[in-house]
Amino acid sequence: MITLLPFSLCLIAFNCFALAKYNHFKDVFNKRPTQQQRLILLSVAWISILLSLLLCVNQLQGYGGLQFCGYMTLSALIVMIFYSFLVRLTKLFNLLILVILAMSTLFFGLNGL
Amino acid sequence: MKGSFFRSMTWLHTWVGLLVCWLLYLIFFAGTISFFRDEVSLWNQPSIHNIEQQTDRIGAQKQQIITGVEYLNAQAPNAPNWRITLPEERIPYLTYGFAKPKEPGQRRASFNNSRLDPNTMQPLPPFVDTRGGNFFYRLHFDLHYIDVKTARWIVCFASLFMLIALISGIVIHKRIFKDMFVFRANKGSRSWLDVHNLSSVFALPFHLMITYTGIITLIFMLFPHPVNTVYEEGMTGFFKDFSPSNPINNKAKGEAELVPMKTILDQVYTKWPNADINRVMISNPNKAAATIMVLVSPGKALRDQTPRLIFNGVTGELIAQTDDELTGSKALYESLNSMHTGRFAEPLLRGLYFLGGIAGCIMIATGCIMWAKRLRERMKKNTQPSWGLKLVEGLNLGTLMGLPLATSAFFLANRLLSKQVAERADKEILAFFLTWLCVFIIAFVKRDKLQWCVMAAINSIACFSVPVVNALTTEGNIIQYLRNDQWALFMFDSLFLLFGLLFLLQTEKLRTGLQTKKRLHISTQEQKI
Amino acid sequence: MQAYNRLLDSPPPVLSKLSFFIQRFNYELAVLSRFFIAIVGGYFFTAVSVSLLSVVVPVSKVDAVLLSVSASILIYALVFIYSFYLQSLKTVWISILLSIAVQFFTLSLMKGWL
Repeated sequence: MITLLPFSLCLIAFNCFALAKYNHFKDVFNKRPTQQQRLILLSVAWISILLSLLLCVNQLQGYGGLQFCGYMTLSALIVMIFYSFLVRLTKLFNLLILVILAMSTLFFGLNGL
Repeated sequence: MKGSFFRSMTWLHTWVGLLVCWLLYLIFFAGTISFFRDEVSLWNQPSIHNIEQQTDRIGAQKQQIITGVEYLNAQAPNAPNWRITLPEERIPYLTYGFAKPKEPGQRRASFNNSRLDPNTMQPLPPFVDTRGGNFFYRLHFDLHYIDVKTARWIVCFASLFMLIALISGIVIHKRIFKDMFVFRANKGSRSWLDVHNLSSVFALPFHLMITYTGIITLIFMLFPHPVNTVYEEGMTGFFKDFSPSNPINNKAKGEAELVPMKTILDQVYTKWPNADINRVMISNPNKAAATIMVLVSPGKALRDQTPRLIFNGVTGELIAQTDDELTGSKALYESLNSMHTGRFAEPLLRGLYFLGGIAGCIMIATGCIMWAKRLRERMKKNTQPSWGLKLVEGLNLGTLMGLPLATSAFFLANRLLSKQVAERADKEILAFFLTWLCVFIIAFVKRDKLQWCVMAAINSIACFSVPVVNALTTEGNIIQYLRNDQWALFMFDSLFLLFGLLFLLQTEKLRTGLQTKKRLHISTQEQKI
Repeated sequence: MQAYNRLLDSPPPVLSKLSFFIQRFNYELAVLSRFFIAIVGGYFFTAVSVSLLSVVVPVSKVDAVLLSVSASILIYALVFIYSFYLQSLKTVWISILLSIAVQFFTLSLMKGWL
């Protein structure tokens, strides 16, 4: 469960990076993103990815850094597959990772305290 | 300047890539398999398939070492070297070995090894002579059938070209962020380019890391100059500083009783409680020059040189050890080296390393294919293909379809060769290379879509047959592995089934492509009539 | 004097064949030359610069060796790219050869070989 938190943060980050692009946003929501929406998406993306890096390195230093790179690789692959082949399922996918994020944050919070 | 830099980098990327892409595919292919070297060696060795998981692996080590020393003392009290290799997470058996006297011309003494089941402490059924995962590990930097030093120089320069290709690739991929998740299917060479870009970008940290660190593992062969500049005695002087050794009593003469292992182990556990001991090496046992070296697993730390304690074998005094705290430079060097082999990786990270390796293979394969397609497009209509195009297409078919087939042949040979055959390990390797050669011969004769389709079908059959032959020739099978939690073996068989399926999909795609071409050809013939 | 003029009017067949060869394969020779300086020149540049680095850096002998060796590939890659960055092949050759010479000279001074 603990490993799921930094990984889900990575997934969200790449998801937001993808959505911040005009063509992918249009595929999912059928309208162009406004400048404000893009800004929000990009900030969320950067914050999640940096948080993910921080969590990984905090847990296991050098090994954690490598894990973070691995998470980035896997997340980028998953997002790539969704946006190229399974565009219609993207909304469901986004919901799923938000749920996983919420659960793992809860777990992390409960264990950390 | 930017415009022409871009053009020169494009030119550099394609040329540097073309010169070595097939060798790099071999290196990446064998290297990716090597991440699961221990699992492959396990699969290759049916005698150790059914060893149960130890309930307290680390706790049992003390007794295993003490028993080992007693055993070796009884078996070979005057051997020059004893070696006790304890079971690890991925290597389930215990080995007690002693060195046989060196034969003339041998660089290193060979060992007489007794392998035991650590749960029952009973000898295991005799091992089959096979290189297992070590074949792929050595293949990816020592190559095979050529002198090791030459092979390593070639691999070093190929890896340097890979690094240059990566850097130039990043420079020329202007739309690296725009196109990051874009894949356009069924658009011919545009799709190939998309796959090439995607497989390079999504695993870019991995590719840069593995290439850079790969060269670093061979750096002292490539650049011995700093060592020779700083140390008058050259490499010997450097290694004396770099690796701990026993200078105190290793030249002593005469016999002496070996200190009891308990004294040694108490010191080890005082220093490192809960130490996970990998190996105990005793040189010159029962002599005054006895040295005992205890190697402890570094766990998840990014260490390349296994942490060790070196004791005087007669008095039990601690003589030397690896540094507890590494200096910045040492930490840098050790991290770089350890990152390449990834020996510290637990299953999750190891799986991610494997994923990166596969991405690398896809990146190189699509690069090779795009080159062939580009050459073919530039070819004028109704002319014969140039020898350059024939060479590129032939090498593509031979390498991209030949290597997987050769791998399946290697594992089939492991199961099908009789146990008593002489030089069995070399024969398995010969099966690998002969199969590869056959594919090259086919590619030499003809290399159209039909040949690709046929090779894909053969590959599919070969991949499917590996788990089947396994079930027929050993006690277990894939379903049993799942039920008994034998995960390594289950994953191995499953991966072969998965690749069999992927090759089947490729066969289908190529077959429909061929049929469409045939139909178009027939309809244009009809129109002419 | 006359003999010299006659030499200039009709150069001997070997020289003319050589100049024809150079003109015909000008592009290929330039490419080969650039690769040569990138690979071989880059190698020697890296060798001499990491040796110099290992002497200059104020750490212990072992650390100096390990640090310079870890940085060597980065230097090699940069020199390689540099050889393809500049347009003028002549500048590339001269700059790399000159810098190798300067670094080697500095290294010899520091190590007392001179």
